[in-house]
Amino acid sequence: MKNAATNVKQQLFEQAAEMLEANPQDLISRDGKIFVKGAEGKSLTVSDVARARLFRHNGAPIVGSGSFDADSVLPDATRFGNESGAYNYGAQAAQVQVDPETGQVKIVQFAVASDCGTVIYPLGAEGQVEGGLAQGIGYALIEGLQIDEGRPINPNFSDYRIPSMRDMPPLQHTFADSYEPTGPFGAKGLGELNMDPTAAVINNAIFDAVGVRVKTLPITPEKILRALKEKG
Amino acid sequence: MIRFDYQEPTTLKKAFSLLEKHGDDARVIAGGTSLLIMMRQRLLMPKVVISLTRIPKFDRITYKPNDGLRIGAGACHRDIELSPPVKKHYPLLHETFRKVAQPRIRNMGTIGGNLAAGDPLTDPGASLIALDAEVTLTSSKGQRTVRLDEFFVDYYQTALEAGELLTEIHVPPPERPGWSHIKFTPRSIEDFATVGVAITVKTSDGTCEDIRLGLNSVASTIVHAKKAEAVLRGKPITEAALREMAEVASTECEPTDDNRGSAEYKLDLIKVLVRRAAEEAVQRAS
Repeated sequence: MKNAATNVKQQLFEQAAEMLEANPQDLISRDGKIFVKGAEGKSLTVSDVARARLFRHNGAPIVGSGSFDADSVLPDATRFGNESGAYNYGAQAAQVQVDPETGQVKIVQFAVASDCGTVIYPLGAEGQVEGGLAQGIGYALIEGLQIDEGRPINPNFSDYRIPSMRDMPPLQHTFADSYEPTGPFGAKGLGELNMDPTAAVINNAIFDAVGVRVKTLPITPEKILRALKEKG
Repeated sequence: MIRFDYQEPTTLKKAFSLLEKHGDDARVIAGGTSLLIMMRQRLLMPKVVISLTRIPKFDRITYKPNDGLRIGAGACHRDIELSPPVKKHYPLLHETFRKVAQPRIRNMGTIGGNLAAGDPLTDPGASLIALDAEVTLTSSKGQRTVRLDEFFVDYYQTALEAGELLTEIHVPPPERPGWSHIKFTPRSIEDFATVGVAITVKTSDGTCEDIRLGLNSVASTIVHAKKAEAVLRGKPITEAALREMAEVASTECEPTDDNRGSAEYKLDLIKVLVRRAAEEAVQRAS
């Protein structure tokens, strides 16, 4: 993202330099405006520059792309390696209620702490936490592709349920105060982090609540009720 | 892509003549929430689709104290849920319709389409049975009235004859003040019920004067559990009596295995949920 944005900025400055009759390296941008350092009075907006670039002879929209590949070492024959240049750390806790007569699990509340390095865009990062947790809850309690003679028999969202917005428990979350030296602005990935511990967290909470441990996913109420009956 | 002719008759009379003309080649559509899924899955491939949405007053909901509630077959779930007389006099219906799918679907799907589809997984039928509802079936030759529990014949089969349309649902004035509705949806709140229970009850001095019990998602049709009702009717309401009633209700159901749970699990659920619903209804009645 940072590399792509840097690339776009360079293209904008090249176009703006022509329009302002200046050198690209003398330009700066602030509050959506581009101007020559020290001459803020004579400025162009980003949209003016982008439009001028699009509608000039041989014009084109400004498109930038960038990629980032953290240092990693492919596993060798002994499976030693380093799959990522930056590792995430996270912790989750769940409070659940289990209905002893139906096996139904109600998640009363969830607490999540995530380490994703510098949080650049808090709203987007929170969305990643919530989305990851929703997928983790689905993985723990609901989801599973069912195959009959080689064919999936629940290949749509009516039969293959995923948690909906209204199924989400109250969630408290926090980000670790952290800086990842290899990432852009000290950031590192976040998306899948909160799917990883959720099934174990929920299973531990169920065990703590009613003393049974279901060892296959999804942990359906039917499996819990069966385990409760066996326990007696 | 299924190619079909689409008709929008503006009167019931025109709708009947189209039905007679096209016979088995035609299917009726209102909200489309059931038919279109069937067509996409190629389970139904009608040559003619007859829409009932332009028939005037087909979605009318009226209430009179001595006659009760009359719901036009074209009324959508959301309109029934939010109807002031429904909220005031039929809290069980308000509660039930509030739980059907989600608002986008409730704004499309109609009650006539829901009942006429004969789908045992949907919620309204059980609650309407618990309120003694009857349906009006109309054809070019005339009208007949059928009790809703006799309207459901088998899986996706109803008492509708060829050329007949379900035109109105009549719910008499509520006679039993206690009610409860349980829609058990452990996977997601936006799922069909694993088991659905609707109950109404009238009590006096700790005795059950009268009771109705409807269940959905537990058999090839929506079930009116008459034997279970008989266990409690006229008897003192005790915990043992409620348990016995729930036990008997489970013998009146024939659930099947599906991705919501095994038949055995659903029988266990019926025993628990019927008892809980009865407890809540009795509490509300007194």
